[in-house]
Amino acid sequence: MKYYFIDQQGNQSAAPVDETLLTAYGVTPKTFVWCEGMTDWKQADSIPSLAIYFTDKAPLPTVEPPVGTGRHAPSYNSAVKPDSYLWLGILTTILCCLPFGIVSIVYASKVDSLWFAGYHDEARANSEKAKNWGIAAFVTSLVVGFIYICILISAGNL
Amino acid sequence: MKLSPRHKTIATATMAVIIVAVLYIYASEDPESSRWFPRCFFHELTGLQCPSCGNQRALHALLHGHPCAALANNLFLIVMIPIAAATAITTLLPYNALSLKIKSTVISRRGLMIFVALYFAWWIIRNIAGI
Repeated sequence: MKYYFIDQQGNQSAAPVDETLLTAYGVTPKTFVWCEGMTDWKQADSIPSLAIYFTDKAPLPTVEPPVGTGRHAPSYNSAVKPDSYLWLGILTTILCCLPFGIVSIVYASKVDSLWFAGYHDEARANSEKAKNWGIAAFVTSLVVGFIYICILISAGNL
Repeated sequence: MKLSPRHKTIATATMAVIIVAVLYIYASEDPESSRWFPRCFFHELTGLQCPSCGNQRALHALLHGHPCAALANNLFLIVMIPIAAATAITTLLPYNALSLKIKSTVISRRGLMIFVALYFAWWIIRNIAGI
């Protein structure tokens, strides 16, 4: 069986690789892989037929990256839950006293529940909004702080 | 913005340096007596307290070992500190099935909605009660 895999930079392999060579390409038990017939990307250790390749401790042969145009595999993004950027929302809410951080938290709170309910596109859309509102909150507070300092300087208070 | 493991390490290290620097500044300077600290523009404009007003003074008090003085500056820290800690920990966990389960248990959608509701309730209550 030949598998596509996701390398350490997060990119999908250009061509499928025979399962006996997967570890030589740096595939670990936690690497996401996909082959014909699978509905979605899975971590290698969740596929029983691949287990035998991860018990061998022998030194690995070095191989060139696979070449080709793999266009059959589903998009890798479908395997990984989008980040909710909750840290951004919480941080800006606590520090900046701006309503934008709260908007970010509201969107962030929807990401996981939508994702696990199977609404992957909606989860991704909410992730984007959580990120953008979080950044908006951060940038706004920087701008306001900058203006405040400008006012202080122009008033001759510094 | 999917970070590779190496970039995630760099980002985490940078954040750690910034956090240590900020903690050092807030420990050595009193935000109340120095004009170099950022002001809450909501408070400057309206004279009312925002939900986070008092956090800088509270951080200074906390770093000097006065938790009660910190809470006197902003009682909402009782809610904000635990949720900030939970967010920080779940964000730093590596992405896998176990961490996803921990994250959805520790930070639920309902929990966040309650936090948002408490945030606005605190905003109103502190200005009425003057705390």
